[in-house]
Amino acid sequence: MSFLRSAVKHLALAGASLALLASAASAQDSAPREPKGTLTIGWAWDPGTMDPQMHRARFTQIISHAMRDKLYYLPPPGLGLAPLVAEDVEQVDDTTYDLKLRQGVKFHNGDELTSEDVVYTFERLWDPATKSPRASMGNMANVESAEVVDRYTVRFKTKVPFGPPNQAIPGLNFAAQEIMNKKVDGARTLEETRTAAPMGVGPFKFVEWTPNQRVVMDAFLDYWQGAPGVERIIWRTIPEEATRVAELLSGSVDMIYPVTTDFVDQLRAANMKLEIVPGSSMRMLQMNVREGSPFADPEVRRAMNVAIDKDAIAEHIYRGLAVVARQVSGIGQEGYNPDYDPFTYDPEAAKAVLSKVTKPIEMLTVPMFELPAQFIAEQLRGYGMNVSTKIMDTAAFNAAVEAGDFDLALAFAGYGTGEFVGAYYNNHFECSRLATGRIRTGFCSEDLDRKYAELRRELDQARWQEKMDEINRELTEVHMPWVPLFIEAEVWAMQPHVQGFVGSSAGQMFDLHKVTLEK
Amino acid sequence: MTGFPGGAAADQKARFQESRDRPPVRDRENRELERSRFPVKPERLRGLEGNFVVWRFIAKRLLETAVVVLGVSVIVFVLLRIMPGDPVQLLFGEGDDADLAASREMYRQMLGLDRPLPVQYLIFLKEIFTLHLGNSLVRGGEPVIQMVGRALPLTIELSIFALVIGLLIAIPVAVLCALKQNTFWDRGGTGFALIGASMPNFWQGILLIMFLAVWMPVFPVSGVLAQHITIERITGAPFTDAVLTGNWEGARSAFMHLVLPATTLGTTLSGQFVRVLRSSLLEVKHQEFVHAFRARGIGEPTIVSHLLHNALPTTVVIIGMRIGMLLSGTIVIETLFAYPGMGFLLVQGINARDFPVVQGVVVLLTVLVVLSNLIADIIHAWLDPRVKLAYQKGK
Repeated sequence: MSFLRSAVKHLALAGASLALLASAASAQDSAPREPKGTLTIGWAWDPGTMDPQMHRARFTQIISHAMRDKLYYLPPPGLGLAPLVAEDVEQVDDTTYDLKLRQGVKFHNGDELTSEDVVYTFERLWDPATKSPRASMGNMANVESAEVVDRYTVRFKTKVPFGPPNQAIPGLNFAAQEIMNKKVDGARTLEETRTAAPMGVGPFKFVEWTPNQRVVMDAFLDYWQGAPGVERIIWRTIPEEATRVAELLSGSVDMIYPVTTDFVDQLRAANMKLEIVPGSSMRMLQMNVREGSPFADPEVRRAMNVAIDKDAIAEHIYRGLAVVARQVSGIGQEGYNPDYDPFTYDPEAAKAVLSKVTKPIEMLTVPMFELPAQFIAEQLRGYGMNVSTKIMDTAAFNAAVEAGDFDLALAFAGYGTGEFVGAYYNNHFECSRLATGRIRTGFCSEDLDRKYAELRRELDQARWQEKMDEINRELTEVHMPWVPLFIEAEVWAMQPHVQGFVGSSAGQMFDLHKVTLEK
Repeated sequence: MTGFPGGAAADQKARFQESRDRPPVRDRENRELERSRFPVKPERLRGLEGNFVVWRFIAKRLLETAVVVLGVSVIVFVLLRIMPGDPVQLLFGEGDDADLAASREMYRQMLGLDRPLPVQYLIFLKEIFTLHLGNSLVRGGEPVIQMVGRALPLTIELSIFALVIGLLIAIPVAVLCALKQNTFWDRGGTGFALIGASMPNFWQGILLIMFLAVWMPVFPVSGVLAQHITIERITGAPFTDAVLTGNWEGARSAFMHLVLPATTLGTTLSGQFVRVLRSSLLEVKHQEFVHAFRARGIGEPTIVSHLLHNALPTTVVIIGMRIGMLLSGTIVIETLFAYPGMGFLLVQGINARDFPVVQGVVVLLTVLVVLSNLIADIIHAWLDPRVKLAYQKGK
C-alpha cells in the first residue's frame, strides 16, 4: 500500500498541470543493445482493426502505439504530456501553431518521417469519407487545417483560440493519433488498412494478426530511440482473468494485463512481479441534484461527502490497490492538489442529516463495483436511509445515467489524457451540456461556467493554477454534485525475468522498447 | 390325381386352377392403390417413391426453417433495439471529445443508426438473404460474414469433439447401468449422470485448467494452437486443416488445445445422454427378442449391439435437440478457454451492442440448430425403419 501512496505522490507532482516535461524520449535515451527473447503478453482484448483511426478503444491503441509512434505521448507512469516524434510546438498567433518534427525518424520500410506524413494522417482522419470515430477527439472539431511548411514543420490552424501550447496540444489531440505513412497508407483502401501490416515509426513492426487469437510483432532494429530489448512480442487474447492468471502461473506467458484485486494475493504468493500505478478513472457517487430529489439539498450532499468510509473501501475491498479520492479532480489530473482534503469521515454528522431522508433510493452501478456499492448502501442504511442497489450491465447503466434516470449512481469518469479543462469539464459540468452530457446529474452553475471560460483564456501559469484550484474547490465542496470515492490502480503481473516495464496511469503500455527479458 | 367325380371334378379342378391364378386379395388391393397414385406402372417407381417422400420431407423442413429464421430475425432485431444502451455510446465511452454528444450523433448518422427502424430491418433482411450479414459497428467495419467464417469452423470442430467425448463416456456408462440395473454400478452411473448434467461447466473448466494445465501441465491452458505453429487454412477448423494438409505437429497442437474445452462440454452432454440412453436400453432389454437371443445362446456383445441399435434412435433425437444447447454452451467455454468461436463472438457482440454481429450470429445459430434437428430426424428414420414407413404412409 505504501508503494501505491508514494506512486500517487510522484504522479501528483508529475501531472499537476499539463506543463510540458523535458523530452522524456530522446535518441540518446537507450544504449545500443541486441534484442533478445520473445515477450508473450496475455491480455483481455483483440485490437479489432489495424487502422489507427477506426476505433475508440484504449486497447487497440496499445497495439497501435507499439508499431506507430505519435507526436506526443504520456511517459509512464504519469499523465503529463511529452513530445515523442515531435520536438516542439510554437504558437504563431491566436489560432496558428507550428509543430516541429524530429529529424531522421525512420518508418519500418526505411522512409523518413516528414511533415507530409503528419498532414496526411490528420487529413485522412478529418476526411468524412474515412468515417473515423476519432475525428472530433479533443477539440479537433475546431481545427481548421494542417499544412506542410517545410520538410519537418507542420502548421495547424484552429477556428478558435486554443490558448498557449500546453493547453492547445490536448485540443489538437497530438497524444492520441498515431502517425501513418502517406505513401503506403495513401495507396490502400479503408478495408485494406483494416487488416494490412501497419507502416509506422514505432519500436515494433507487424508480423501477423490472427483475430481474437494473437498479434505478433518483431523488433524494429532502426527504431529512432534504439533497438528494442526483446526480439518479438506476442499478444495473446485471453478474455477471462482466471485463465490469464493460469497462463502466467504455468509459465506460458510472461506478462498479463489487466489484473484485479481478486488474484493479487495468489500472484504474490507465486512470486510474480506486480507493476502497480494509480489509474486515471475517478469512481464517484453521482447524486441527482434536480428538484424533487433528496440530493437537491446541498446539506444532504455535504452529509453524503462525510458519510462514506472511503479508507475502508480502499484498504479492505481493494486490498490497498485503490487510492482514496478526496476532490473532484483526480490524481494526476490537471488541477489536482495533493494537499486539498476538505472532508473528513464523520458518521455522526452524516447521520444527523441523512436520517431525515425518507425517500427510497436506488443506487445504480455496474457489476465491477458491486462490492463497494453494497458496502456504501449498507453504510447509508446504517444512517436510516432506505437504499437499495441495482446492478446493470455497462451499456444499460450508461443509458440510465445519461438519461438522468437515477437518484444515486456509483459511476466512473476517466481522464486518461490528464485533462480537466476541455472535454472533461465540458462533458460533465458545463450548463450547455445539461441535456446531452456524459453524466447528467442535473448540475449546472452559470457562475462556474463563467469562471471556467476565464480559465480557458488565462495565459499566465500561476493565475491559471489559482483559477483551476478555485474551480476544483467549488465543485468539491460548494456545489458537490459528486462524492469522489476512490481511484483503482492499474495492475500488471509478470514473471520475475521481465525487466524495464513501467505501467501507465492511462492504462496504456508505453515504452515497450525498454523491456528486456533477463532469463 | 384321384377323387374328383366326372364333370363336377373337372369344374372343381378349373375353379381350383382359377383361384391359384388369381392374385391374393391383399396384393390386389395394394396394386390398385399404387395404380391410383401413379399413372405409370408402379413396379418401376417403387424405389423412386420412397426417395420422393424423403425429399418432400426435407423440402418441407427447409421451408419451415426459412419461416423460423424470419421469425428469429424479427425477434433479435427488436430485442437489440429495445435493450438499453447503444453501440455508439459504448464505443465512444468516456470520450475526450469537446462535444461528446455531437461526435456521437455524427457517428450514429455515419453508421445509419439514425434511419427509421423498418428501414434498418429491411437492410438487415437483405443482408441475411445475400449472406452478407452486415458490417461490425466496432471492429473497424469488418464484414460480419468474415468474422463468422473464422469463428464457425472452430465452434463446429469443438462441438464435434465434445459430442464424440460425450458419446464415448455415455454409451459404456449407460450400457453398464442398463445391464446391471438396480446395482451399485447402476446407481453409480446414474449419480455420475446427475453430477455431469448439474455441474456448472465454467467451474468444471476451471478445475480442469488447474489440475491438468497448471499443477500437472499435461495440456495447454487456453488458446487454439501453440504460438509458433501456423496451419494452412482450408476449412478454418485447425485440427481438420492440419490433418488435411499433413501438418502433424499442427494437428497434435490443435488436438491438445481441444481436449480441455471439449471434455468440459462433453462431460455435461454425457450426463444427459446417459439418462436417456439408459431408459431406452431398459425398455428394449425387457423385450422378447432379447430373451430369445439369450435362450439361443447368443453372446452378450452381440446382444448389447442389438440393444444399442434399438435404443439409439431415441438418443439420436435427443442429440439433435441438444445441438442447440451445445452451441450455446460454447459461449461460456469458449470465453474461458480463449477459443474464439461463435460463442466468443456472440459475447463480444452483446457486450459492445454490435448489432450486426449479434444479429448475424443468432440467425446463423438458429439455422444450424434447425438443420441439425433435421439431420437428427433423418438419421432417426434411417436407424428405425418404422419411422420411415410412417413417413411413407403419410403419417
